[in-house]
Amino acid sequence: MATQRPDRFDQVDWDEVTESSGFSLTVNAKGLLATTIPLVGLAVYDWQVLDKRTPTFDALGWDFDVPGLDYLFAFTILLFVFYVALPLYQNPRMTRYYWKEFKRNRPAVVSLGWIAFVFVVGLIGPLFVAAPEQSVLHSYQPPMYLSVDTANAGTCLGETANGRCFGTWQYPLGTTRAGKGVFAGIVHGMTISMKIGFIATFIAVLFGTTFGTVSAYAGGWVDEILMRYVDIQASFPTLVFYLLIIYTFGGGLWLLILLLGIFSWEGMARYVRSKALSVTEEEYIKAVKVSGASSFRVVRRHMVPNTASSIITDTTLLIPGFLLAEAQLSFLGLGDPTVASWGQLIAAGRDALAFAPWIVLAPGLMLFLTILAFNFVGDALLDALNPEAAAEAER
Amino acid sequence: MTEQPLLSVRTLKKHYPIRQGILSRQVGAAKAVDGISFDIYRGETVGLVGESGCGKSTAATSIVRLEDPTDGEVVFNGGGREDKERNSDGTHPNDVTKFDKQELKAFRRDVQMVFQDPSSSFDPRMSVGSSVAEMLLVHGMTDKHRRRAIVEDLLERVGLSAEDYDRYPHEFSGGQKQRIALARALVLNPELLVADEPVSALDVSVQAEILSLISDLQAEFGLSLLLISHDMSVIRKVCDRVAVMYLGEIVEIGDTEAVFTNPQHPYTEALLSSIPTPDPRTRAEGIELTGTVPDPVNPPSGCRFHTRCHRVVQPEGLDVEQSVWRGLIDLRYRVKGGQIDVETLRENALAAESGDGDGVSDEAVTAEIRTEFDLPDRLSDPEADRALSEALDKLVDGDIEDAAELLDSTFSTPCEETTPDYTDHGDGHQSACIRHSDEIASAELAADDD
Ligand code: SF4
Repeated sequence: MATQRPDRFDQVDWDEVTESSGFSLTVNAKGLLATTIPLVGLAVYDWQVLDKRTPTFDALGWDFDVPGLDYLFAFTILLFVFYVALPLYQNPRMTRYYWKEFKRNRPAVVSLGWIAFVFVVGLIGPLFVAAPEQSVLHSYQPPMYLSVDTANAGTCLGETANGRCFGTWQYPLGTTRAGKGVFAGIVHGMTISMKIGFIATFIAVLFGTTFGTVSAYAGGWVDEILMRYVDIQASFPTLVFYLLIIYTFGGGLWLLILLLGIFSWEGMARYVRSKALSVTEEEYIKAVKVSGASSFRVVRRHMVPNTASSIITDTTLLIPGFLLAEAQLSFLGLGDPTVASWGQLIAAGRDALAFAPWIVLAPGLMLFLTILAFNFVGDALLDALNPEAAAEAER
Repeated sequence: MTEQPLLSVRTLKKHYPIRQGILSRQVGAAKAVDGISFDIYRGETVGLVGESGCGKSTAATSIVRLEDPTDGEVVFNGGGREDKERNSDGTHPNDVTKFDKQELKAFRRDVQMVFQDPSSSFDPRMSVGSSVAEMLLVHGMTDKHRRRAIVEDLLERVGLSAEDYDRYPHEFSGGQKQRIALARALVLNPELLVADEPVSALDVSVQAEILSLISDLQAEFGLSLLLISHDMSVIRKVCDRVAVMYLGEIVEIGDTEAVFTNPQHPYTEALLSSIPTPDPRTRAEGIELTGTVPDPVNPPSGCRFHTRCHRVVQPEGLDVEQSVWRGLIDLRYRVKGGQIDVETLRENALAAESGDGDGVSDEAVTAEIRTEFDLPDRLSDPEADRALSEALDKLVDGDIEDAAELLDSTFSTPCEETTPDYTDHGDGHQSACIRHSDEIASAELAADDD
């Protein structure tokens, strides 16, 4: 064995090695493929085989329908798992280093905990908490330990004393005018926020990195055309366009997410491009090229990972923007009234602010905390993901 | 050692087009490398030395074909390509600049490069082990464990430990990173290593360590080495032969010993005089290189060094002191370039005269100019002095063009008219300076006799 395949660099028989070269996939790619293929299969089955009203898992006797948007959502989560979470596990040393840097920022650690909480609850919460349902009799129930004038509440579910209605555990955070539970609304709102965050971000990152890296790597007129297009899109009146679309097609969540994603990546493209340009100048890129690596390898293995810090930090700024945009549009009555988003909940409570402030306050607080958390995390990531800056500080 | 060199570079050129306007019309070219030739034999270390901006790094990247050279050939006779004959059409089958994709990939294994800046020569997001192992992967070694074994072994050979495989670049010092860079360059078992300023970013004490590591590795694995540096002392320590580059051309080449003890080209003299030597006999007389390297887009005519050369030849019939002559040429180029501001000089003169009111005489200004260029009040050659005075008067009158013309016609040097050929000084020691060509040499001798 030792004589056959010596493990010394100067005893490698390269003719033998190069012949045996084959195509190989990384674990990450394999994992993504292995999980995406069934997902796509299910989507196709749902779309082609089943008619519109049959729930997706009807054949298994499970009354659970997967809405179209969720396939994309699931895919973005898979991407996240295999290309963000798994690499962190695969490179424990780097992860520890990042974590050490990240940990210095206390508020960011707390914020990360909060985001993780929203993520987990948003993902599995709907399995335990039923979607908020309309029930006219239960309108304006107060939250637990609080009370409301019986004149305002519908049929009071809890105790009444001195003409005031007290909250019950059935609706821990009270209800809206339509009698929808605010607590259930918040839990399901997390899911919606996650969908907005993941899918719109996925779209933005897809466009932003593609435009940015291709521009930087190709240069010349390709760069010119792509970047001028970015300029044009950046000056495009998105809101007007959105209003137009709502009036034509109606405002579905789908459309909102799509539009948010498609009209938000200009900054990222520019950012990624400039970062990628500086990366192409680095000596390690030359070193890899001198070794005979293909352009694809250079871009995929070195340029994209090294622009990743820009992508990730930019993402942490994009997501709060998306969440806020959805809330604002909903508040203006331009959102999708069929989904239980935080924005819809806030909109539902705006008329009753005087006597039922919890309807606005609870989701408002959630929104505020989540956005704040993303900003803190973004700040800390910017510092942690930048080993070059850290190395410079050491010198 | 066979007679055939491992690498021979022939009239290699790399010009960068300069484009302007919306249509990107080419308006000129920066001649970064302009026709250099040299050979590297097996096991030999050749140095390429020169100031920054002389094109030595471009030469390196063109030789390894990181950039495509504009012209010339790079014949690589290693990697099992020995003893090939030239094709009938004059091209060489081993010409790297004409390699196809497959040949190039094999060539990539045989020639590797070490870069200058250890802080940017590793991907900060990859462990150094994977960075080194990536080279193996690129060339088709898919066996992960084997890659790791080879790299761990190699890391130990360059003075690190196998555990360092999983560490990241930011965890190493500059010297350690340069060791890893050597490992990366060696891992494909190349025959030729091109090292571009491998130690210039390091502390002096670390420099010595890295240089001796390079020498050890070279001896152990029979590497040939092309070492690029601006530092003559580094070259002296490791190189067998050295080529001195100035503005895209090689001005002197020869065995290191010969070049250092008996430099033939004035530029080499100037470079050598800048290093401190413990040996008083070889100490040159502190020649100062004035000015910067001229723009490679418009290199000076004739000998490209004549705008800075301290030995620049005087035309026939002129006989002034050499330092004065140098000053005259400098003056001439400054006037031509419109870089002499008479008004400022006038003010300076005024200040010197502690201002008696209504301005200064033109004489005071010309005197100021003479001092600035180290010219005496009166040149030893009366004819030359007349021309100089006249030109200075015109200059002070604001007639810059005429002044420049007059200076041009009186103080022109043969160095700007003739492009010097290489003169052989024996044992492959060559230099390109017209002082070595026959007539000039004899004229100089005659002048020295006086
Ligand atoms: S040719 Fe003239 S300018 Fe050039 S190096 Fe020789 S003496 Fe100097």
